[in-house]
Amino acid sequence: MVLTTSPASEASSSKASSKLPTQNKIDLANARKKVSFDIVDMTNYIHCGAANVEQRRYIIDLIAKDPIFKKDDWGWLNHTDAVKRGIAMSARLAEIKMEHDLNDLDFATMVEAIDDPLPIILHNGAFIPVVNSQGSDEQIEKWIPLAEKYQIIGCYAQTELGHGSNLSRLETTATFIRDTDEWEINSTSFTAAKWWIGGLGAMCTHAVVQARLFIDGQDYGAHVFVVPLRSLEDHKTFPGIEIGDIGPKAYNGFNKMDNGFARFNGYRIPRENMLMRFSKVSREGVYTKPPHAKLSYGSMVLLRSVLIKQMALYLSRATTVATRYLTVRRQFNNPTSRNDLDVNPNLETQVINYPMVQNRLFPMIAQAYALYAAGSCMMEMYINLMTGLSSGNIDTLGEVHAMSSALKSYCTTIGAAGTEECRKLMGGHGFSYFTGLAHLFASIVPSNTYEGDNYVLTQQMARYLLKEVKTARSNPENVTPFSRYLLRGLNKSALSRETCAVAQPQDWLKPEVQLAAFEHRCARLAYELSDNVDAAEGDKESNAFWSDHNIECYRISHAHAQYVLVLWFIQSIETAQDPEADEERRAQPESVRVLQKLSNLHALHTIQQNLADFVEDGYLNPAQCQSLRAQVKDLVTSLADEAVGLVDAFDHPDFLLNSALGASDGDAYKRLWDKAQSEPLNQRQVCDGYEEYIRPLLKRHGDLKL
Amino acid sequence: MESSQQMKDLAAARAKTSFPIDDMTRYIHGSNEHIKRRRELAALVANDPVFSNDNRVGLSRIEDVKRGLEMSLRLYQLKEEHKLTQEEMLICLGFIDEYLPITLHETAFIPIIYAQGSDEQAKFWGPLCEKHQIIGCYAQTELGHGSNLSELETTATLDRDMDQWVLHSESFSASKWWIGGLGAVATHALIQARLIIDGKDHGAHGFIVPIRSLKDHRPFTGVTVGDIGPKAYGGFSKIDNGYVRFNRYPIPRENMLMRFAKVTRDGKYIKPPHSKLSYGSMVLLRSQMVHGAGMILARATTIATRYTTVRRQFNVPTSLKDTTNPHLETQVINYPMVQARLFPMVAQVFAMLAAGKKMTSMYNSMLLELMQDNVSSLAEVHAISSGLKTTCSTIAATGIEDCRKLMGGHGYSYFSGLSHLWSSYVPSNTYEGDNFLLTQQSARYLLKQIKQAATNPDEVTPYSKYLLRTIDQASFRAERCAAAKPKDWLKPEIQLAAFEHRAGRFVAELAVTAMQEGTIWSDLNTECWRLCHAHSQYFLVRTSIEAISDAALHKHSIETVKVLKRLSDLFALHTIQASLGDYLEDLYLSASQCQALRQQIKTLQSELAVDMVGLGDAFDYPDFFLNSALGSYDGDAYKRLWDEAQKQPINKADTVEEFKQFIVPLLNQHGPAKL
Repeated sequence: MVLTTSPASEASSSKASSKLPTQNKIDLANARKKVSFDIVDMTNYIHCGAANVEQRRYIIDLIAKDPIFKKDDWGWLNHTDAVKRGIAMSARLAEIKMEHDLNDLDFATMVEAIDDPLPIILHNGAFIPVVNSQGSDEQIEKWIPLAEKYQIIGCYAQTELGHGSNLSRLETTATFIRDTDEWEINSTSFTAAKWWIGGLGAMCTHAVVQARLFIDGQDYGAHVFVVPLRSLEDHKTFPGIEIGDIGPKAYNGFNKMDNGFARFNGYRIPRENMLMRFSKVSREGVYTKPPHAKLSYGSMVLLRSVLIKQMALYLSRATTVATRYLTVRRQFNNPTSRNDLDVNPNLETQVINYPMVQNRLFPMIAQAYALYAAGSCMMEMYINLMTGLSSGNIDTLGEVHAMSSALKSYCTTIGAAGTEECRKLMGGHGFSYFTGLAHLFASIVPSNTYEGDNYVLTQQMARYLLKEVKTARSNPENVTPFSRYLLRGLNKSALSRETCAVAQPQDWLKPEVQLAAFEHRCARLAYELSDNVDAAEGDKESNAFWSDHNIECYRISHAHAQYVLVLWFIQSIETAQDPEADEERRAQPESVRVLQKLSNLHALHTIQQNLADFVEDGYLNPAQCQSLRAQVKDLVTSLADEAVGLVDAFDHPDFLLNSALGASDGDAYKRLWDKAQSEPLNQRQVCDGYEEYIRPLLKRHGDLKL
Repeated sequence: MESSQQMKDLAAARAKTSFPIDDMTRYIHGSNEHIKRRRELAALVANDPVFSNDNRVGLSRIEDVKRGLEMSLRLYQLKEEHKLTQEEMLICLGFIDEYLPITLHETAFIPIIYAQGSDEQAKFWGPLCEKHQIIGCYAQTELGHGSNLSELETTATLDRDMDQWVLHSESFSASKWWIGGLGAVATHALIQARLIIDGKDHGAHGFIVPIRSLKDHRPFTGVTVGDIGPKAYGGFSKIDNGYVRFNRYPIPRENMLMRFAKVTRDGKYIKPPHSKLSYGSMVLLRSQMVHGAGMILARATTIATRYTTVRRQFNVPTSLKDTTNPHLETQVINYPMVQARLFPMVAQVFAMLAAGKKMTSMYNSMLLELMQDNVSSLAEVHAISSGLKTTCSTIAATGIEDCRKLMGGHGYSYFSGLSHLWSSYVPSNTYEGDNFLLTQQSARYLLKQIKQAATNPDEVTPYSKYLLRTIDQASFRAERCAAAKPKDWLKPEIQLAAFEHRAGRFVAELAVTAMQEGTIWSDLNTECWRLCHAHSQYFLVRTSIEAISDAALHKHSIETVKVLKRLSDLFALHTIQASLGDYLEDLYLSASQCQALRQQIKTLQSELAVDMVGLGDAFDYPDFFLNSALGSYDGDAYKRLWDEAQKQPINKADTVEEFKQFIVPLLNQHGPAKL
């Protein structure tokens, strides 16, 4: 209902808007016409082929058509109702999965389309994979069919109140009871409570619990156990377990997810519920060690690789919304060098035409494209790793693990920061829930602190590079592919004498010049760190420790991630032009031309953002800094006509974007208005609370006549 | 009951503080009397069940607004019961820590009526407002226009015959939007509309417009009004930001605010005497935002400091190992990476407080001058206040979110307290002048000053004097940083010289580009942005250096002054490091100076480590106000986090029954599992 006491005005305005397209719609349509490449071709490049594009659309549409997945009232559910909705959506998602017999990729797309973490997500995302990878064959046979038919629903319980990053200090214990052939699970202190566990608060019947394994008083470290939580008959929690929801999350994020807590008090489970593919405990209580300590890294690598793909999706969504809204938003009658004065002399300037806006927005579009390329490459690396592992080859494990850590840290950082930056780009209206970006950021930002905190995680890559420095010095031919830049630092003085080869501004557009800059910087930072660590170790007085280097670890890890991102983007464009390459990886020359601009912008903008790293050792000189800035500016300007096409090419339907301001038709103001009308407060002329609070306030000094 | 390890850890850290905490509190808040009154008002709010922190989050939109209305009414009752002054009531409103439906009535509607209404109007409307017989809001922003006031599409056209204004929303995008208080509570709105007489447009003016009937609260005919819906991140949840559209809606001519511009009975428009007078209130608002940014970020750093002090993770030796507890894990705050993120934010807090104080005194002296028709300092004060608003609100918003991330996984819990803080603060980056747009003000101003420097060097204003050095370009280009050894970085003159050189270079470069033929001003807005931040940072460094000697003069203890000096140094050096490329690219700094800079920052951080908890305490924020399970005064983080979860309505037994309806059928779709 629209709250109007003036039907005439409503009628006239809605008549006007239905007959003629609004200026907003005209503006977006006009911008679309200027695009120089074929959007369909670009979409096929981004999503790896027309078949994938079609399948993705089909799946998203399946979700969009199902009323339970409607997003209309998401902005005003209370905490309990939100979780309840999450459970209802979970049940429906499980049904669809079974009805349509979806494969993993389609299921992932479906989760992407639903666009809110659900209580059931960790069942498929963690419970099943962990049982599959760490359970023995008999255990897999027992649990997986039940899980796949949703006869049990599982979650993954690792984090505790007192411990997240430091697994070795978990305070949940599983003690072997030889007499009854059972484990007794205990939360040994207040801080042992499992916390944050998605699915645990309300939905799950079982959990995979990480607990420290004790036999005869000896501590064997963290192991995983399948633990029944709630009765399959009446969903009641079993005695000996205390269980509940941890409450609302920051920014109203994850609000349909029942992140939960659990405390165990002498709770018994059968010995066979310990997952025994690697470590084993026999009936007699004999513990057998796993063959390789790092075998369980595989699932971590997978989770992090998936996150990189997710960042591509999120940042591409955020830039889509911002690009469209800024194209239709007009403010001030300022001439800029890119005004549409010729067409619309009486209208204000489109906000997207302001250079400051372009300088903030376009590099993020470039990052989104770079992230798509990186997501595919990282996934490929993971698949190769797993193929290798299954045939007993662990050679690449170290590098792949380090890369996935470094990229997770860097990509989720730019993904979250970029989403919020897109929201701010949208000015005042950006603070409305109806931009769609509030929901997006609230869901994306915890990725900076989960699955390995983004700062802590950077030590992995640093450690790895220190090892590679040693390898470079002793066995240069054994240096792994992505660390080969270290070879240029074997001769220290040669490295310090290196300077950037840019002689004229256009030289910045050469991929080899860009890569050389990133390689030089990584090599310098790696050798500096290595020298500092060595010096500290050699000096007994210095009292320095590894953790005292963690600022430097952070720097080198992000430098390496940036290098890899630049490299992979360049390579994917080479592939796109390669007649020998797979059809789905190729792109038309017009698309390639724009992709090259994006790749250049991505590389040069990244250098500009970290300029000091490239200047402080004299690698860049003042003139090169000047020409770098000029090139960035030119590239940004040259993308102005492409921006709307570049985001259309991401192929995110309106249902997925769920944004009044960023819909594909551009009708931003109209949609914002309509959204407001649908809100519960507006369904009555006089708001709830008037009689209780407003009237007593106004009438305390008697009736007023004006 | 025995103290938890967390409580012990925080108490131990507190005991190490090197300065008297109450002395620092006086540095921050002023006299003991003021501090005492502040505490009393905080207690008044904290002890009232209506303002309980328990029932504020996870509500539906309707429940949220109802809570906001309930709090509004109670606040007014408190004012009467305790005979609070207006200022005291506003302090209470601050401690309530929500934007309420009546917030804009107090902070915009009433002040604007007094500032822009004629004496008669103030006499008529003022008492009604103060007795809350009417409740107002301030309606400027429209769907289609925010920053650009001159193109507002709401019009007020004089109907001479009826002696009325006819308000009309000329188009769809003319709808007023975002107006706090308008969605549910307001009976009146102060509407900014373009004033039109006989077809002539006189630009935006303020009008008092009745919106809802005082009898039954129904909207008047011709007025379409409602709530704009939820805001990002659950922010501003208790306030009814609203919209309104007018359809040829008449109000009396006298409802136009007529202190400055006037319209007579016969429709004659009389221009306001001085067009820049209205800048005053903008300057005031922005000046307050500088101090406010410091106080807000201080809440976040206090919480993060306390939690990272009690949080222990990994048995990693750092050079700052807690040797008294060798078997416990390392306190997170002892990791250099954590210090490198957290401590500079505390330094930023103190720099913003110093700049805020300076801005306030500059504003006050400007006001005195304005009363004597002297507008000489207006331009500088206006430019600096715009620049600082953008720099400081950016620092604070970014800082709060970084504090939350510093708290790792648990930081994502609503109960960290930082979610509410950030979601209420972050819109400040886009309101009261968008932070990017606003940077053009300082840039324009500095360009004028550099011209001044070339032609009338004596006329250059106090905070732009550094521009004089740029006039001789050859010697300016040859300028190099004078730091020869790491300790030199602690010299104020070396710090200031670096900031002056950088800002000077940016102004000079921009001046060259701007003067080139065919250059369009708005094409330079990236450069304006860089320049504006450079100038603001210079001002912050300068005022924070000045604040140290001020503190000594005002008899603060030697230890307090010593900590202030370290914070000021850290602020200056960290700020340089964060934009290091700017100082390197023209060779002002050398590689070895960069190394020394990094070294000195690390040294400062380790010197400040013992004082972090004390610095947080000094802000004197009560637990009620911090509303953080993880950052409370006693440090009992885990226990409080647990307790908060137990209070949640979702954990009541009957919810399981509700959830079952979806879960059990799913489990049994293939028949019951046999286990």
